[in-house]
Amino acid sequence: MFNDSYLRPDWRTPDERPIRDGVGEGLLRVGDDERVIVLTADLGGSTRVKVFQDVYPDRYFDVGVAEQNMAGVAAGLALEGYKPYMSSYATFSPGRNWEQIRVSIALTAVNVNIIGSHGGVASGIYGPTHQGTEDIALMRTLPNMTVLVPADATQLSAAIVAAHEHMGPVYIRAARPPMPDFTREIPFTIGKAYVLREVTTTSKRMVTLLATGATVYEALVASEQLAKEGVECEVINVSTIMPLDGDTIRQSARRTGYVVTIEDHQVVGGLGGAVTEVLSETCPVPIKRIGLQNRFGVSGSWRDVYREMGIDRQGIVRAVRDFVLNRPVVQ
Amino acid sequence: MPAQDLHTIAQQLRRDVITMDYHAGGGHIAGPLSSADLFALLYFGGVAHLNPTDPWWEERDRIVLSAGHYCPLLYASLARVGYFPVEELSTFMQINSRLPGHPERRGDDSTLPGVEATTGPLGQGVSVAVGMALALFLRRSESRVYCVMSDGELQEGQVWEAITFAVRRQLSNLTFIVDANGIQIEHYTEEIVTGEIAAKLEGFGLHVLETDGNDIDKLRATLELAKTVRDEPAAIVMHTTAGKGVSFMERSPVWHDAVITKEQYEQAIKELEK
Repeated sequence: MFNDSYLRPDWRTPDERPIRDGVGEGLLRVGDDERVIVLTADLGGSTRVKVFQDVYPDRYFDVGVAEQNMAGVAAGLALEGYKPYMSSYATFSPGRNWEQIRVSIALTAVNVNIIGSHGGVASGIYGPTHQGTEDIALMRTLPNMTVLVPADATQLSAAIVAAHEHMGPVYIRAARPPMPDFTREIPFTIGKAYVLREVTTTSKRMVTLLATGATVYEALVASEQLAKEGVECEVINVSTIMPLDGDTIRQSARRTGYVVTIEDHQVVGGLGGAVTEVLSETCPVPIKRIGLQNRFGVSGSWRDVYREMGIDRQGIVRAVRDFVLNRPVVQ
Repeated sequence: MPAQDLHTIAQQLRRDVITMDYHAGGGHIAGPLSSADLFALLYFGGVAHLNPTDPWWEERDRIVLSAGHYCPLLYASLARVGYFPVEELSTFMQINSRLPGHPERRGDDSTLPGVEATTGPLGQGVSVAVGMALALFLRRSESRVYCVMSDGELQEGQVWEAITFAVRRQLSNLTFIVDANGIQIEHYTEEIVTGEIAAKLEGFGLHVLETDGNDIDKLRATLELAKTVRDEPAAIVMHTTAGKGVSFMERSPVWHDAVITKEQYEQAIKELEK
């Protein structure tokens, strides 16, 4: 049922680590390559890139509070053969510098890796100005862009390595608070959705939960509760939003007949939008999108805000229950 | 190369610009005309080290046209100096051309040889040029970066972000060149912005040089002087005449970009034969 090759044996009682911790860890794994350069816009500590400076001080540049310039400098470095990683909060980069990313990076198709930390309402107490809740939408509309949303610090570290090997620009989303670190250390495959819990028994009530980022763990926990209530969930970690793993998503949708998307992001344009686009074209099934419903986040501890937005485990259980139990049973 | 020969080349580039714009039914005019003397110096006058037969030669100087709307002038310069056939200029802004409405560097065969950056949205090329200069500095290259900007472009905040960073990193391998032709799409720049450009650039820490951008000897001396500046990037504020060389196009925002009629085209070419 649960896939042991992706989940750590102790995934039900995991250690907690900020997803963003994977950023610094990953950068140290690729730092041997002298083409790697790290840029930040006065947020080296909180985006966790600063550890790179301790080891490679000559290849670390704080550009100051100037995200637009950071994007252009990264593009210029990349045109000269370097492999820059640029970091800030998602709401500033790719929020404030979206057009610089569009023209200098995406249209030019250069190897710039963009780290958007503090993704989602998970940023919590600093409020909606500092919660990046539209970044996935902003990035996935850009041709040439790859969009990665790792589920925990372990996966984020692997995503940094994958981005280093990838040709073309990559957006990597990170999050702020300590969260369950529950996935196994395996290479990050860009474009692959990971099936964490498979529906093997034939059940009358089945549903596919497609989650991304921090909500993946919430979905896993929710699936155990739902199983007790007779709803069998296939739980899939959609850690690449662009390109989306349409094959895995379609296969699961065909098997269960119902799809729920879960994200700490606006459902419009985010994972919910992306999944709806692909399934409506090729495998139309009823879809429920859990996430920010065309509203901004609020200030508060991340668990409180998750509850308020209905993207915590209880909110997921409620929404899935309503969605599936009010539908005709699949024969 | 003597100034008179470079003037002849600059006039040829101006005729190319007018011809390209006329046949394309669009494109920018006044800025390319005001900067033609600069481009003659950079591409033909030995100011920049380039190799048209090996466009991406590692040791070349990089010329980034941040004022991307000046691209007919860039394309004409690249063609005339030998990067690609002059006949290709007639494809300007046509579908599937390598000469799009603003410069594009795509990292594949669709990139026109010699186009260093994707530019046009003002301010963006400045940061890219700074990134290139940082890269060249890091690998101790002798190559220089020239970043050609317009005066209207200075209204973009990104320009000042980029300058701040370039000054902080002491990128003396970088020369900013501002075409101060005094016009933008809908205005004379002084209607929008007050204050001296040179003083502002100096305030940000650049080594500022001012000159007449349509006087080839003076401009050449200034470009050479800029190469000798140490520990800070240089900026050349190049005072020019918008629409230089065509009497009815000079000093007017109307000719920032416009559709050229047949009569206007013929008159302009006639004046530029001089």
